[in-house]
Amino acid sequence: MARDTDDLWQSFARTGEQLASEEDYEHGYSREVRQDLRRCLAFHCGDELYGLSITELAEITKPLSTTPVPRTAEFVIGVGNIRGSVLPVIDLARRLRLPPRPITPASRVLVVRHAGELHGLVVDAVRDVVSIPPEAFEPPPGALAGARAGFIAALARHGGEILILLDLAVLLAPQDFVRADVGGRRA
Amino acid sequence: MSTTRSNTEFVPEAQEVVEEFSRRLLELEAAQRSGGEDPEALNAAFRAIHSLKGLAGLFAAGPIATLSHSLENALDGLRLGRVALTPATLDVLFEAVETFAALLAAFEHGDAGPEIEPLLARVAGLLGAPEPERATTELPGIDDSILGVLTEYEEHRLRENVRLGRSLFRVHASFDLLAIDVGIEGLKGKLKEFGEVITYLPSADASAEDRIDLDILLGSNAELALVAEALAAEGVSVHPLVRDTGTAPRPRTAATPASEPTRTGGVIVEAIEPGDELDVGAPEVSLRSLSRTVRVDLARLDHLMNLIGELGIVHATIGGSAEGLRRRGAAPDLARQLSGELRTMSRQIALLQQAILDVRMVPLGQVFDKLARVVRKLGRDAGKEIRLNITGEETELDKLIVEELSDPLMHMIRNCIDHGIESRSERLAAGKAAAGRIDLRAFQRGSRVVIEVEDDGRGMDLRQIRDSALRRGLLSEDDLREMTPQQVIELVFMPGFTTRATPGALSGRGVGMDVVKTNISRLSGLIDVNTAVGRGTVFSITLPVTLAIIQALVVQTAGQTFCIPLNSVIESLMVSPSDIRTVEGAEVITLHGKTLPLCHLARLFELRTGTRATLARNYVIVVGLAQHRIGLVVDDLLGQHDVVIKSLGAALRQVPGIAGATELGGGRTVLLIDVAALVEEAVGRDGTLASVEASHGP
Repeated sequence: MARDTDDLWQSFARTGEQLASEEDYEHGYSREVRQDLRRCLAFHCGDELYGLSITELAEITKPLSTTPVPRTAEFVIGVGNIRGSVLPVIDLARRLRLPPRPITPASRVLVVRHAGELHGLVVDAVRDVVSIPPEAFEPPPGALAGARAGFIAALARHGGEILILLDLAVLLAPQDFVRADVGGRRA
Repeated sequence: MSTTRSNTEFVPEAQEVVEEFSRRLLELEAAQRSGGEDPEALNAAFRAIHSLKGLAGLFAAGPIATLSHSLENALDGLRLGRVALTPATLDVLFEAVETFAALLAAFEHGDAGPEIEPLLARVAGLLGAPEPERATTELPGIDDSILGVLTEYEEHRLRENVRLGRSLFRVHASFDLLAIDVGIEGLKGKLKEFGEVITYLPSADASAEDRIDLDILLGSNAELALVAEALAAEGVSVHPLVRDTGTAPRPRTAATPASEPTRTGGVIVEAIEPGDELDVGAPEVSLRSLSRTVRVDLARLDHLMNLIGELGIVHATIGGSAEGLRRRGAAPDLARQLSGELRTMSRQIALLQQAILDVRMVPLGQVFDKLARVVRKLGRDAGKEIRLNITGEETELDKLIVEELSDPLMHMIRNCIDHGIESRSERLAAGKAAAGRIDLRAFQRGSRVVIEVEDDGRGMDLRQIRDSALRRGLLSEDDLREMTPQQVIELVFMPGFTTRATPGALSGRGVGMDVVKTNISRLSGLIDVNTAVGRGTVFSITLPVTLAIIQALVVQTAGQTFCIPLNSVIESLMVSPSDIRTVEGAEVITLHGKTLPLCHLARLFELRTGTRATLARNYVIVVGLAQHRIGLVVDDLLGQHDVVIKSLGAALRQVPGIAGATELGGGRTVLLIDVAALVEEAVGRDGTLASVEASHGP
């Protein structure tokens, strides 16, 4: 019995939910329900766990067929089509300069809305939606070296794991989509 | 606050009214310049301002209401002959048009807008000016019973007609009560051919219960017999209003003053309809709006267009399933029936698409009217008299294109006035008419619309263009020596080009024609110049009719499919490798006696081209941007399709050479090629196209 309760507690703690305690039964539910939790989608890409606020997310789909677009950066897979909307689809691993990942049955496309437009991010697998209290967020560590530092909006501690929250504004910066060496244009 | 729903309705509606007002002013000016008058245009201008006043009041647009109120008074003064219609008066009225435009823009953005006090003072000044000599002409022999029922305006018109020496006729007409609207309109049209309808008077001796008899006062230069004969078919009788005998004419059927319609503040309601004049048997006044139009945001039409695109895709998918069914041989009857129904559906979808495209179409007159104002103002500023002839203003184009056209056309008109048309003394010395002429023409040619701007000015001087290009360091002397005259003329489209030593007030800053070219190219248009020294210059712009849905050529190269907008395709041809020659490392072919540089699409886009070497022939698609032509080499042509263009979004919009995406059947997303960008690129890479053509052209 005790073990089961522990698991329940743990799992609730992980999602940020709270259970009524003995005190609540005695004094009524006086504890405030927290309104400031941020709900994030946790997903895998490479060996790390990443997160995006669910407010940025439009939908999650299986990998869709794409048309390659010439003259774009390597991480741009191409354009896809979701119910009539054409959207750029990018390979998140390549974008984060991680080694390329194979497409597996677990692979998903996160359709995110940024600056009013849809973009698709291909990730290895989606885990779940988590609620994180503000105090669990940390600014990206300044000392963290590496090419990926710029893409990190914040880190969040969650149930003993670290969730890397991505900064879509940097990730989807339009100037990075066009391949740098596309020349031939008149100066 | 700035964009409430009501505001979004008010501004476009008010803009339309102001445009109508401006159009009428131009008519008035034309009449005034030719020494005549145009009471109809004046009335229409008056009505426009009156409705603007009402609108502005409704939407609490204070300054617009104030200004239109004061203009209404001034226009009423003009109508009644209390204010003289002089060029100075017209200046004030045209200034009001500009001020309205500024006020509306400010209103839309919630800004304060320009100060209207000075203009209000000038408008008030019109009324304060000494009254012109009014037609104090005696009205001999016109019965008081007629004069008594005329409004001040009608009496003024009557006097004007007498002053102009016209004969006055009384046209007696009888209408069936039920068909009176139609009857009156028809008769009015006939009567206008002979002169001016001054008023309609109800006649007392109606012959029957279900008929209405009217006496129409007509001022005309024509003979009584002529008018009577022409109107014989209308079943009316024509009498002179004033008998020659000199005795007082006794209009048999003058209305009693009791039947005088009640009018308020001298306001005339729309055209003078019998319903206003008669209270007997007049149909009940309806509050329903006379207008049968609705205003629709373009975004909504785009949405509809997208939905139809989706429908088309669903159609294609069903078609695929039907085909699969047929191949399996199951229920062949049903499969055949299904494919028949699908064909019908596809026709209906095409019709639907066309219907929505038609809604987007607006006449070019919207832009031409603005240009007429520009000509008037710039001509005056430059001290040149200019006649603007507009034809084809009813030619229709996609609303978006019409909007995008105003700036380029304005630049071109500026150029005509500033560079093209000579000063009065130069013109007279050259044996030309003192007034310069600018022709603005629009017409449809196939699926494209051509707009021409022609002036009868001095034309372009090649030597001057060469010197300027050299002086500005745009080209070297060697470059210039090799150029054909046409290529030299096209230098005017280069950024930074101007023949002026110092920038003029109008143009000459070296941005004009460059901007024109860019804007026209953006609309997938072509621009051509023709000039003859001493005789003038013609610029012609060729544009597609719409951009929302386009016809595209579907091509394949290196295994990938692309669409090329058909409106930038000039022709496509098959070439074998032996047709291709090399000029300084660049591939060219000879087409119609001219050298055409080639660009391989696969190479431009760095596509993997495993099979290319085995191809015995290639297709060359000749595309044009403004005055440049290049040949795009592809592996295969797959056909033509109507496609709905979809944006690639901010991230991919900047990829050079790709204009957007579209869907072909089967949910396939296909990229649309940006011809303009590719041509620009080719020009940049191969040196100038012009020099290639110059050294190896005919």
